[in-house]
Amino acid sequence: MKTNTLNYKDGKKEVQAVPKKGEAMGACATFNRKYICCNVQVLRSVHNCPFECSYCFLQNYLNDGTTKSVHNIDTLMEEVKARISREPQRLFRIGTWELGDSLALEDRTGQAAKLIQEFAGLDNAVLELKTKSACVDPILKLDHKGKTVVSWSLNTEYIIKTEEHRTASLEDRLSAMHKTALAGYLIGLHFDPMILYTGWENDYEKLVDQVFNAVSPDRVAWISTGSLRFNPEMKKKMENNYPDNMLTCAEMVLGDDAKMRYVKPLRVNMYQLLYNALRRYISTDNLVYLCMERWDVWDKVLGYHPDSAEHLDHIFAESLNRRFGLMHPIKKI
Amino acid sequence: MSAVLININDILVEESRFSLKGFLFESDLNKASTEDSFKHLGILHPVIVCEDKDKRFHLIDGKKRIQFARQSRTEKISAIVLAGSTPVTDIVTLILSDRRSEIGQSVINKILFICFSEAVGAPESWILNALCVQFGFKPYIEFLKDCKRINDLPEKIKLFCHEKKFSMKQILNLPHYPEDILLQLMRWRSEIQLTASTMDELASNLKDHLRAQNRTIKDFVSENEVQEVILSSMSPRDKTERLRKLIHAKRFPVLSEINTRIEEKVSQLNLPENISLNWDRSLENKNVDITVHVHEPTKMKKSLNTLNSAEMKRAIESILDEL
Repeated sequence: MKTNTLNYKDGKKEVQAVPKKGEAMGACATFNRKYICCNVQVLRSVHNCPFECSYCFLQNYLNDGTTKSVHNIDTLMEEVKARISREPQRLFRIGTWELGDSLALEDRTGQAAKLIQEFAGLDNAVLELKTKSACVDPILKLDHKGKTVVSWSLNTEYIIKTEEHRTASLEDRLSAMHKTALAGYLIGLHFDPMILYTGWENDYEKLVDQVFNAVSPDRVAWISTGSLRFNPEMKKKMENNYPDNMLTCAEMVLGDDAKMRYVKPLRVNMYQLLYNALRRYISTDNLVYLCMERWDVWDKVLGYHPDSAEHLDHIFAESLNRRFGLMHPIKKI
Repeated sequence: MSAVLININDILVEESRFSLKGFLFESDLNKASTEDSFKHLGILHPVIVCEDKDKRFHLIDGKKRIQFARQSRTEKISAIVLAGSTPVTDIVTLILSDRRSEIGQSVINKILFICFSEAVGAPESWILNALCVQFGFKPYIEFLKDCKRINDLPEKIKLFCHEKKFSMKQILNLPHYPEDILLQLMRWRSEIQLTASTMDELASNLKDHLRAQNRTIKDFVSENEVQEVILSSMSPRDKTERLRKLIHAKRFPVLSEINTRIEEKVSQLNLPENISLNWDRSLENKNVDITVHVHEPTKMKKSLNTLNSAEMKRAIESILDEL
């Protein structure tokens, strides 16, 4: 049967409800042993996104750009339950954001709400919904039992305006974050991708101020930071799709994970500035990590590095258990 | 199909809708041998034309025969006349089989032939499935857009691609570089050794550097450092190397500065020839490789002393700090 496929941009206009096909849960696609990965698991429940970030890898990734949302949550959850039951002593963090935004389509699909209710009943898993939207109203009154972390991908107002097209403004994201924290959800903060431009230093410091004006660090489950990175073949796509963007002419090198990223001294400089800004608000209790970075960058910025992805996974579990009692006590089997 | 005699003046040659003018870089060698054959044997084969609804004959095959006949003041020529209803894909296939060796001489010729097929109205699906596959190109629709962009490049760039046998990857990059940069590189052709890979590297780095600095190629060319290289008495090879380094340093200022500092540290060590220090010049890996070449066991001790020296340890620490 011939199927009609849409290109990346046209596919953003409509949402198709589709059944789950094949395995939906797995390791984050960026996983690479040369960099320290946080070992989060991803649940591929959405496919494409209504937003148009100029740096988004989806513009070079999707063969069929049709926006799809998996509708049979029961089948999705069967796979999740089977997977997490194989390691009952591990606390799984499971995100739905790999191929799209976790909440941007919520008013049309109701998918996140169903997942939140399902995860509320799981002992050893936490759901992470990551978004650049302000669509939180449909989930505010749910009985989430503290098993869902609602995260925001955050950037400066300048970057949101120039690169994150059609996403919610910073003000709207922060207002949504405030409401979500009041609804008892834990919050995740992802300052990623950090992007260099004239004036980035002041803007990222200001961003940190604005974020902690909206949410208390006590309710923040984790904070990540990462810098702009993309596959080399994305360069042409980005230049074709967004001719005015200046991201691709920055000083970048090809990493061992076959992704272009800023040269290391520039990355370290960015992370140090952000971390220093964060430290004005957070305590040593807050978990801060770097997304897909080298061990020596961790050392330079955070003063230590996890030994492996599994070690970082353990650091997460320990932090969530100690701060929020999230990791179930080890059960006697 | 039998041949008929038709007036040469009734045949559209350059104006033929099937003319490959602008779509093929021809070999002069073939041209000379064909002319020789005409002189000795005359025109042996009929030309092939297609008759349109206005009764005009569009030349499909036989341009050199027509030229020879005109030079010999012949008025009529033997021709096979295809009906106007002949499928265009059949005509393109005929042209391809006649000119296969010339078309296959370079990647750019194959790309231009795809553009020719589109220009004469061959359906996209046929071009993808019949032509692209035959040429070893991946048959996807976006590739046809790439071909069009390549065809829009200035003629001298396309000719350069043909002469230097650019690879598909190198040709596909060209439309992404501003035309003024490519034309400037062509102007430098007599001064520097411009190969396909050098052109790709220089154009890519220049493009990103100029965008990042919001400058033009004219600004760059008028810089003293650039003028010094181009107007110097160095050999084209040395000029190319200097220009590459200059552009690289401008494109990667942080990397260049740090690598230069490390090079200075290594140079100050005055290492013997059999010991070398290497590091990842992209600075991604915090790692220094120390290589010791030993030919005679008696020289081992001296090498080990060098490695164990306080100066060496300080230098390694300092390099690792930079990384």
